[in-house]
Amino acid sequence: MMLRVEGLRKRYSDIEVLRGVDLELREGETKVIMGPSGAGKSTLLKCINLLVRPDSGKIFIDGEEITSKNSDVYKVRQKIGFVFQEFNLFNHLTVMGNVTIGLTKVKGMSKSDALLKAKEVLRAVRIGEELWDRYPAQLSGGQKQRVAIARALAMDPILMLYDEPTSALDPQLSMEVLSVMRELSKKGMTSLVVTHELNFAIEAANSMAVMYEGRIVEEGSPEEVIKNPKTAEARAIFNGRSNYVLV
Amino acid sequence: MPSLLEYIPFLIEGSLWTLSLVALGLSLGLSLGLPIALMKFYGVKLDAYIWFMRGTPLVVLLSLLYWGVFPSFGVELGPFETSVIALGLRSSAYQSQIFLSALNSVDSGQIIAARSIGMRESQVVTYVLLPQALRISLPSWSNEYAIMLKDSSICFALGVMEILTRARYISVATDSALLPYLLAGVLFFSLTHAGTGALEIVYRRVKIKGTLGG
Amino acid sequence: MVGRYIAVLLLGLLVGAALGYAIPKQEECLLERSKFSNPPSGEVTIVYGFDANYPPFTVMQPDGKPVGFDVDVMNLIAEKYGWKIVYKPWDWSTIVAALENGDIDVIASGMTFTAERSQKIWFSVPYYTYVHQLVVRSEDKRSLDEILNSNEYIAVQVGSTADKWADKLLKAGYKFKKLGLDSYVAALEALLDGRASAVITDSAFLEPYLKRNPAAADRVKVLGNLGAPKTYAIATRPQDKWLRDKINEALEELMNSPKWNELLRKWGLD
Repeated sequence: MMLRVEGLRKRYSDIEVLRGVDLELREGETKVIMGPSGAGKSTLLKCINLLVRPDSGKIFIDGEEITSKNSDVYKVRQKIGFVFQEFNLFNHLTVMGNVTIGLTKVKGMSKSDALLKAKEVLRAVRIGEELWDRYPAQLSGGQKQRVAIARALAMDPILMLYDEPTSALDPQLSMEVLSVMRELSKKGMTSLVVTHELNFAIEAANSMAVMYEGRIVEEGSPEEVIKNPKTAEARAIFNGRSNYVLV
Repeated sequence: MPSLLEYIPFLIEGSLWTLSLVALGLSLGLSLGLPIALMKFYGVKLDAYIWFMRGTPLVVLLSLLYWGVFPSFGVELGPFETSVIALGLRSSAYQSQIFLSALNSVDSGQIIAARSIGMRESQVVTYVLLPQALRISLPSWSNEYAIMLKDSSICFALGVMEILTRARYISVATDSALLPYLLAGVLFFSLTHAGTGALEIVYRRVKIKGTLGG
Repeated sequence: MVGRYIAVLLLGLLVGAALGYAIPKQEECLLERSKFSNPPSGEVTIVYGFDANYPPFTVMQPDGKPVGFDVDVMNLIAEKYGWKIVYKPWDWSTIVAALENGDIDVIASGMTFTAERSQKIWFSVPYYTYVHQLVVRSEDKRSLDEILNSNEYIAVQVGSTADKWADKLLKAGYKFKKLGLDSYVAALEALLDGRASAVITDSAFLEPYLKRNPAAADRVKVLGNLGAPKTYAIATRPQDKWLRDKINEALEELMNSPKWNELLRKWGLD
């Protein structure tokens, strides 16, 4: 089991955002999480790489409990790639700079090694050489997000977390990002994706989880859950229509 | 009596002192102001220090240090050194404001992203926050240079022979009340614009692409 | 939290230190030793403090060295004893403090001998006498009293004895407005261009100035003297008995020699 989440709870002042979340992800599996906004999906993802500290519960990555006191937060984060809805590229660095900085400063690689690795992942996300010296401000949304994916991939993560990666992009640009994500999944990258893209769920995901008010209410294969939702909450979301793009 | 023209080199020589005061004062201000800004950014409350430095006139600070604090502690620092310290302390309060606002303007998403690839907080500061914040601060900081240039005249009270002091001497030596000050004004004007112009060029070169304003 | 405590502590220290220094010191014991209480061994270097704001006594040259009557006097005294002189220009407002503090060793800069100053510093024998004067434009036909009660501007050099005179007159009930300027020169210019109706200055400055600027001399006149004549003297720290004795000895010798008249003539002070 690559990822196991047990009884995760998180409270922000009055609001309990996560109310006991249990989740499992096998190696190579791509799971999509869907649900209305405010359900805690983003918080869940951020707990998994410890950007947010859960109040209680346990998280195991590749068998190791990362929520224990002894775990090295920084090492954990290196093993998990995170892709944000707002891209969050480093504005003062070029595309190449964005991808290599983690390699040189965090992993301590030499400049030449970092460059090689960076070129590899940039090709994998189909960002061409002509863009390598550009700055984030000069890229389109889709390009930015793919560079962000490359930045995360460069660290050789064992798990990729995507937090609504295409929500800020128009359909055209979303496609390029989603297709890159699909390829990565096909190549066996364990991925947890929070998204509203039903097509992606059906075409690329192995499983789907529905979150509602801080809990996972339904799980199953994407087709199953979308076409035959069992719980009331899931039914409310999908309403039996598989082409419905959620807001 | 020498003519005004003969005094011009004497006046211009004052620029060396003025520029030294400014350069050293700004450096001191920077080396204090930046850490203060970072501390405030991470939640340490340092308002009282800034409140004191901003509220105290420079002459008062200078006198307090030279005639009060230093002698009481047996510290023997000359007029020039004390002037630098007074200018630097004052500047640090203002510079910390400049840097703090620049730090705050760096999108926090980038900070989270930096952490997500495993950077320690010190690395986040060094490789993501500061490179951007420093660039963003340049225009305001350039302002601080201009202000410091004018503030440096205060040090004449301790006998530092900067531009204005010399203008005064020349005025008295040549019996002319206006011209020496006019020349001093031209000197200040040139130094101000040369400095801010240079900083503007630097800013254009290091500016993060996509920053508003061109 | 921490920051607040640190700041309050700093503030307290600053205030305490400042107060500790500002509170008048107990009468300094004259037997206390200072740099020049006794004859020093080896080479003697005197730090000579002056405000080069006062021709013809002290004026700045383009090369950064001062010249003037006082400068010549100091140089002659130093020459007599083989002393070295280091010139230290200093702002008039803090020059006494600088002497007390040890930043400078003597003040020879057209400094008036006053009872108030002699509480803190000691003076040599007086070497020059002058009187305060009220100067107006030549065509002004009014009397001294009329000018002083005219409610118009009277210019003075800020911080000078002329300034104090203006305050004294105002306190005594005369009606005019004081215009404080940077230097005697500025004050005179204010008179010449009409911003002030009169200037309080002293003869030590005025007479040489008028000699240097005959054009101005035509346009102004001395309306009258204010008060009794005053004297200039060289100032030292109270504890520096040896220094003062030496200066006095040299001064008296100088003043009794023909060199003295030469000096006065040179600077237009005769």
